[in-house]
Amino acid sequence: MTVSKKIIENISDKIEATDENLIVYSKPSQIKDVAKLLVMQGARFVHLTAIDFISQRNLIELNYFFSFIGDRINIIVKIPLEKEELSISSISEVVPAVVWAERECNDLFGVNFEGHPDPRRLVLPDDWPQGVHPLRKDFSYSSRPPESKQPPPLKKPEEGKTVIPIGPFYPSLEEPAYFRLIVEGEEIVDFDYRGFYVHRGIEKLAESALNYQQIPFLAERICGICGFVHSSAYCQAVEKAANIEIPLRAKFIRSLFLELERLHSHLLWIGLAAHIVGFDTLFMQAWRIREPVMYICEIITGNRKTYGINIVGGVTIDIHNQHLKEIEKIISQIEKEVRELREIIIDDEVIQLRFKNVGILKHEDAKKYCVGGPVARASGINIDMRVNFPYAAYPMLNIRVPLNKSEDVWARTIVRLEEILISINIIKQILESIPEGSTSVKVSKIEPWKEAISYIEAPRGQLFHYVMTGPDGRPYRWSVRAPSYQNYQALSVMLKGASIADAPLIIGSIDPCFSCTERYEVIDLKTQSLNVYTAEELKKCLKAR
Amino acid sequence: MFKSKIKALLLSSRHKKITRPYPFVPVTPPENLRGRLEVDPYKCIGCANCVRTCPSRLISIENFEDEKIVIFLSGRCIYCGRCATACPEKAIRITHEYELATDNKKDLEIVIKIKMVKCLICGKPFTSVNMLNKQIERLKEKTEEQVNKLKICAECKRKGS
Repeated sequence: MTVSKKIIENISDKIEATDENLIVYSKPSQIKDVAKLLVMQGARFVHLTAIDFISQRNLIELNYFFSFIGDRINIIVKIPLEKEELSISSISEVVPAVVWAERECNDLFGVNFEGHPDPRRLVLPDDWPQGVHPLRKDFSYSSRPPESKQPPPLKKPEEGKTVIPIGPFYPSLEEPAYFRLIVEGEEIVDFDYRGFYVHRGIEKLAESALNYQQIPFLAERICGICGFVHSSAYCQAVEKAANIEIPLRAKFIRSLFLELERLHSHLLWIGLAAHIVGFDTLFMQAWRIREPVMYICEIITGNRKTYGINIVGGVTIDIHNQHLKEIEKIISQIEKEVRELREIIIDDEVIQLRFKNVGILKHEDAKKYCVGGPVARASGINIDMRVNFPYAAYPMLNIRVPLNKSEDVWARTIVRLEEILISINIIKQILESIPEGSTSVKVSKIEPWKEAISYIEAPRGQLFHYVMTGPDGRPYRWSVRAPSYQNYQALSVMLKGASIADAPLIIGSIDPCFSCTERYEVIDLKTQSLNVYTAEELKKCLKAR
Repeated sequence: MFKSKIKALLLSSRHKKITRPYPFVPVTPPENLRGRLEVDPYKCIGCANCVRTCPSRLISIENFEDEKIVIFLSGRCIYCGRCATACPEKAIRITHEYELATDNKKDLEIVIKIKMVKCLICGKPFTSVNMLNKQIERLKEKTEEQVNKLKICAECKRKGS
């Protein structure tokens, strides 16, 4: 690290170092060199976001987040862009994983990325007027700009190729997303995704209307399956920024619920995967095994999901010893049943035929697209935020990271099955070593202009939250990058060359979470206009045939 | 092949129907369930602590000549229970009621009126009756002079002294 730090110094204006962050200030003309250098040193791209400082300093600041996983160091590359010249060269040649993040910055902040391979609209709805950028501070969170009719930003297929639309209501997962498979005969040659139909303007709302203690409840609603990871990540980021040390018992309770959430999320996925290939017995059984986890969460927190127990400074509830005993009983039962389930899956020839050698994501591609979670681990990348950037109670626990090198849907299934058993083991460790004590500390005033990054290993992969504290009792910038955001971008690699019949399974294999990925939209696309586009699309498809 | 199918058969035959016959048989809610809010108008002092903590921003207080009106638009409630924790008077209580489906959003609204007390000197309303009663209760010597002191607003007190 010391060597690379010297090289970075040559091409940057100033370097600041905090405990685990290295902040590099650089010029817009140098971003490509900085990115090249960081990637050569083995840095992993995490996210790109912008912060609006137009009213203070007449500039928008771009923040590129990289991390050195082995060294536990984050690198934040800060690049100021003058308001009059909001343009910078795209780094997608060096870091292919940046494509969506750059499109998003273009939509929400109006930053132009020169040489971007795919500069279409990503986040904003089709009828959103040009030149209105909702995450800028001069845009009020409650304003509604007039509709403007524009052609939907869809990829045009090449001559002789057909488009098969799946969506805008994705059937097997029952969520709004629009996948377009561009096929030649039975083979998928290209893939296009138009999603972001479930944006709710969450970041904008938090930055303009709520206070620090209200946001955890909003953050928890980013996702319906893994909401607790979002509220935990947000609380951790604010606690880091404000230097708040939360009680040990609160850390253990957070870890306990994070693991319970992983447990039921993975069981849900196994059920869904079985459902996609038509094995409905397994689907029902996996969901039956999952149910007691929901019951125990309900008994402890009052809710099956969206527990609403996280606040900045700890958790709002305490767990009785009697409940801890009940958890132990339930997870022992689940462990037994998951082992049976695993045997059924591993011995089943039909599942093997459907899962093996399907949706291959090579080790190099997985690295290139910076995927995380079970998808990365199934491609042989040893990455787990619980080990790499330990948080909550994980530094005190013993965690094994399962790896698989076969790179296909089968590998992802095996990794998830392993992870369920590891989660159960972690919960057992937590139950043994949970300390007594208080569960929250009082939070006094939080100083403005402090920033912090927090990671959480969500069931779907690496979750990233960035918070910059603000002067009005709320964050000035809160940025969320859900794990599916990165995993989606690798889908085009997995789908290329596959047959149409495998597409739902491959899409399902990354465990896509639509609401997580698409957290910010300000105004919903009206159902009416949505229908119009779909009809047009369908007509085009019919003509092409 | 067969082995796995037999195992699957065994796993599914071991468990009978586990779906609950709700709503025909009522379900007892867990102890910690957070359900419908209940607000005690005799305890509320109109301090607006709940207004500041509510994540869905559904509580508002309107000031009128001689009363304060506290409105809970509970149709937006996410049942986090933060208001009940924040209330210094324990006026907000979280019940176990969870069957709240309605076709009229107004059914879920809670409106309470708090009577205000006018200042003995300037005549402006400055505190709620509930708050005043509490303060009187806390007094060590309940002489008329002491009680009357409480009925004067802060501004007039400053002017007088």
